[in-house]
Amino acid sequence: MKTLTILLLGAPYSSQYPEFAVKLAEAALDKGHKVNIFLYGDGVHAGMKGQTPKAFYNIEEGLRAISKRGATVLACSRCSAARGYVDGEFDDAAQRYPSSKMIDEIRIFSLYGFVDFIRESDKIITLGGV
Amino acid sequence: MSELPKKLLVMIIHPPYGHENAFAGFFVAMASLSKGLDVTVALNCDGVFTAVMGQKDTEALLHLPSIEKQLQDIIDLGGRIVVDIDSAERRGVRPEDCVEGLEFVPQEELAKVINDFGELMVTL
Repeated sequence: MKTLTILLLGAPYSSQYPEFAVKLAEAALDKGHKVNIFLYGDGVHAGMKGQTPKAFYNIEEGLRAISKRGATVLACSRCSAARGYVDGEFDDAAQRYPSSKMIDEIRIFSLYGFVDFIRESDKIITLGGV
Repeated sequence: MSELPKKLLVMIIHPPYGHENAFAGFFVAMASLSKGLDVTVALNCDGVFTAVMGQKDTEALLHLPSIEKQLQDIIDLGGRIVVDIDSAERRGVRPEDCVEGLEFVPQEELAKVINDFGELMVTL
């Protein structure tokens, strides 16, 4: 088993990167690998609650599904706060920033969470942000 | 025998200020250096503009952190910064106009850096 980390920079629906990130994660999980996803910059919008795309793949459902299968998904706290996702101070017990707008499967955490992902990764792929 | 620190390559291809990318990449580099990772930053394409010395008071003028200060912080934390000399020349960015401590390298050397860092690379 190897560990894949995906750094997702792109927001959902404006590009296909978030969908590709979820599909790539599914494929890696299918092959028995460990998967981490770090939502960075506009990528944090991928974790927003209540997405209802009419014609596109639903990124919220995709992220919930891969989390259920064991993928770890973190969202950058600085990026999330800037975009209105953070409701209060860091919760030490839960090891996350509280958010009523982000799906529960995603933990809002500092950039050091990504550094921890790097430490355990065999491969990092950056998607979006162009 | 202690394990060697994990190596990370942060490739910056966007210019400063107009996009969030360069800031975001430098934050990753600084966080990784502060946690003991072996970090190299590569400035390529429009990313070479981040290296220009004498950037004005960006916090006052643009409400944005100074990219120049971020570069200096990375150097002070022990990070290596390489600049693609070909990208710099095409954009009129000369080594003498840039922050001290950068390595201007030909594309063959940049390719070697990418090869050496293998699988752990982020691009912003």
